[in-house]
This record gives sequence, C-alpha cells and structure tokens, in this order.
Amino acid sequence: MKKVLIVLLLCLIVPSVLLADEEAMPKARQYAMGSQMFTFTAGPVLPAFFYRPFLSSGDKLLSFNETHLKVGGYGSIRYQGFLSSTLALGGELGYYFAYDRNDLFTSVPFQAKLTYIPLQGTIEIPLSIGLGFAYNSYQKTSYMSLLATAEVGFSWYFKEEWGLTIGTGLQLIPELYGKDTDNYSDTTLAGFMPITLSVTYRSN
Amino acid sequence: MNKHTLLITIILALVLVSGCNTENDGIFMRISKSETKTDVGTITLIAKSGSKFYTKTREHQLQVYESNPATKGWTLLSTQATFVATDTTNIYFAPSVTKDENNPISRYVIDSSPVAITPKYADTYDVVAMSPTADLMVVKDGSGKFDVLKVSDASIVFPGLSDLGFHETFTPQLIVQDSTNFIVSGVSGKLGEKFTYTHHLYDGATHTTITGINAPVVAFYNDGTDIVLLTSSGETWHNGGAGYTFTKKGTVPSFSAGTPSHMPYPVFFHGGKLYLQDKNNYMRSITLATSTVAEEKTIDLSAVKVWSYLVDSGKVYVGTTQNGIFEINMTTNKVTSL
Repeated sequence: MKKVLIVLLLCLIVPSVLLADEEAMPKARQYAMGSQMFTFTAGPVLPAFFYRPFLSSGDKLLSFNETHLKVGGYGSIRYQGFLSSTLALGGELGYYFAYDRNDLFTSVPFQAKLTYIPLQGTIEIPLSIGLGFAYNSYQKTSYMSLLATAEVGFSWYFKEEWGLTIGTGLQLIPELYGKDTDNYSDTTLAGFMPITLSVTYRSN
Repeated sequence: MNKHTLLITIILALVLVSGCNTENDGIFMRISKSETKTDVGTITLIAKSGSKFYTKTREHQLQVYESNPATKGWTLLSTQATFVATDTTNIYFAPSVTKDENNPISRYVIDSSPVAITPKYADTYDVVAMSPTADLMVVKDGSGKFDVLKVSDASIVFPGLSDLGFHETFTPQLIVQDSTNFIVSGVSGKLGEKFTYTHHLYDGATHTTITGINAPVVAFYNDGTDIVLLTSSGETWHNGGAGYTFTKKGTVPSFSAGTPSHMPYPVFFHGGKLYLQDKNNYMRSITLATSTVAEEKTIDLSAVKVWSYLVDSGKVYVGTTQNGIFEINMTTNKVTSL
C-alpha cells in the first residue's frame, strides 16, 4: 500500500521538477507546448510475475509460466499533448487479454500517461509512466484495480508526422483486499510485460 | 487541488478498488491455480485398478483413464452408460430408454484385455437409478413399485417401495454410502403446492421410513452409531448418536445442490467427517458425531468443480466437471492432478 502511495506522489512531483528544468534545455526541439501525438499500439504481453505478499503457505512469487497465464495481447489508443518541448501528458485506453490454462482473463486499463522524450527528431526515445485504473474480468467475476505502468520505446519517424515505435515496459495491477476479509491472503501484485509496436502521428 | 482533497481522492480510489470480490478467491489467485480442461467433461469415478480409473464421462461414456505419467490417456469402452454400477470386479451399465421400457444391462470385466463386454440382462429391468460405486440399482416393477436390487445377481435387497413415484422432474434417487448402506429418496405426494418427500434408509439390517424431512436427501453417512443426512437445501439432520429419529442440526453455508436438485451430491468420509465442496469451490466438513459444519481451508480444490469422489485403499480421488482427476492426500491435505 505504501508503495502505491509513493508512486502516486512521484507522479505529482516529477512533472513539476521537469517543468522547472525546462529553461535549461537546449532549444532545438521537435516539439513545443501545444504539440500533439496520437498513438496506436498493439503487441504480445508476457505474464511477468504474481507477487502475493500475504500468502501464508506456497510460493509468494510466481513468474512467467508459473502464473499459469499464457502470452496474451495488448492494444491501445493514446492521445497526448505537450506541456513543454520534452514532456507530453495525455490518456491511454487499452485492452489486454490472455488465457490461463482454461479461461480468458481480460483487462481494460485506462490511465493518465506522462511521456518524456529526451532524444527527438527522426529517432526518438520516449520514456513513459502511467497511472490509472484497470477493469479486470475473469470467469464470472470482475475487479476494478489500480494500474501503474512504465515503458521505454525506440521510435523512427519515416515521415515528418508518422513514426513507428518498438516499446516494452511493465504494467502493474495490484489486487488489494483488506486485512479483515477472507481474501486477504489473495492480495496480489501482478506484473505484465508488453512488447509493442506503435504507430504515432504527431503534429506541431 | 489541496493536500486534503488529494488525500481523500487517493483513499476513495483505494476503497473503490479494494475488497470488491469476496465471493471467490482473488482473480490472480484463481488464475495461478487454474487447471487444464479435459475433453471428457464430467467424470463420475466408478472404480480404480492399479493406475487405471474406470469412469463414466459426459455423453454417457464408459471410459478408462490411465494415470501412469508415461502412458497417460483416456480409452473409450462404451457409449451406452447412462447408468453405471460396480461390484469391484465388474462394471454394469445400461443406456437410457423410453419411459417405462426396460433397459438392457451390460457387464464389463474390469481390466479385461481384450475388452470383455457382454450382455448381463436383456430388457429385464426398468432401471430408475444405479450407484456408480456400489452393486445396487433401483428398478420399477410391473405394479409401479420400486425395488432395490443387487446388479450382480439380481437379488432383491429391498422390495416394494410403493410410496414413491415420478413427479414432474423428480425421480426416486439412490443415495449410496456402500452396497449395504443406502437411502432411496423421492417425492411421495403433494401438500398444497409443495411436494412431500419420503426417504427409505437401509443399513443392512434395518429399514426406516423417514417422512419428516421435506426436501430430497442428497447425501448421508452412517458409521454405525451416528447418522447424518444432508438435504438439497444444505440442511444437516442427525440421529443424535442412536436410533433413526432425525432432528435438524444446521445448514452448510454456500451450499448449492446439483441440477436437478435431488441428484446425489458428491461427498466422502474420512476421519469422522463427511467432506463436500460448496458452491464457491471451498471444502467443508460435517463432523459426524456433532453435525458441526466447518470450512476445510487446507484442502484446496478451489480451481475445480467436484463431480464425484472415490475412496480407494484409504486414498481419496476426485472426478471433476472439466479438469480431469485429482488425488487428495488426507495426511498432508495436498491436492495433486493425476
């Protein structure tokens, strides 16, 4: 729980720090305040880990195949507007699916996304963090969870406005239960690792 | 946004996403426990011989499962097994037929190679029910009465039950502990809009007609002293440690009978307790001496839905609705997929 609060606070602090440094940045930038980006993303997702900190017996940490999830898929649309020449803020709506040994697990994440692009031009390296919620469904039950994401990409703009990005990162979905509930030991931090290809349209 | 507003927003968000799913295990916990589906569907365990399990599966198929890891697999023996019974040497089975017609009954010799299936009784009995783990069947005779017979030799174990009948979807059910202890439970009439039920308990020596329990009895156990009955509504009834007068003791939480509700409910007996799975796939036990119901958290079958049990040589085996066969080690409570 403490970690989630720390991540939330960092998301509030980091933009202000970066904005404060803006005046020290070099001026030769692709973007300026008001520039926009539309991004369409798709790709496979590896189940990275399930961490169950309050499990009394059995493995607290399961990774990859041990989670019983197979490689799934992720698709999303994202819109971001630039707050400065290096920092873009926006929202992303996605859809993630994966099968376990029988059934389908789906998650609809919607998140605020902050992207920092230190290297710009024909080749770019976008670094993003996101915070939001995910609507998770499995068998006949659903669960609304928090969501935190971090990703890094490598972009190539083959035209002035159009670019392709290969990216990867980590999506964290905590499933939280109170200490007094029967499901307390089921509290899990699930990590997923998408490997994605994105098409981006940018406009200044 | 001031600090208080931010804090309240964060707390509300955490409340929103916490504890919304209390009916089952957590989503990721269930995913991590998920088991592979088998093609055979529901598995009614009949008998075990070495590493082979004899079963009735979906579509009324008599199948054998080889659990040896080197030669794992299913083999079809017959597609005519709507009813099955066993005397541990043979499996008897019969197909469904049109109402009031007699069923041909066949015999399969366990472990026979080549497979030996021969006719046992040709259109002699109108079979109402058989017990998959006992040498018993209920047949309807020419006068409309119900007899309990041993399948192996057609000897009558209990004759002439005249107060039961077919009512809408209700048929008399054979609830079996073993070939000696059984109950024939069914609808005996109507009181206003409600059915009335009669249950015939037989323990090898004494026949008792029970009329005070107005719901189908779906499971029971008799250890010679204590008898516990479980009804389709999850009620437990106990004889008080002697005799055949039953009083209601309690209710199994989250109990959901099968479909139809008067079907025998899968239970097994171990160490003075009757074990069963509730509708949320949690194991519960009924202590025979006290009828106390408890949750058995250490036996984890939450990833599968139990369809049948087989106790063989002190080991407990589980047939599931779609995930194959499991073994419960009752010493360590460990559950293993076979």
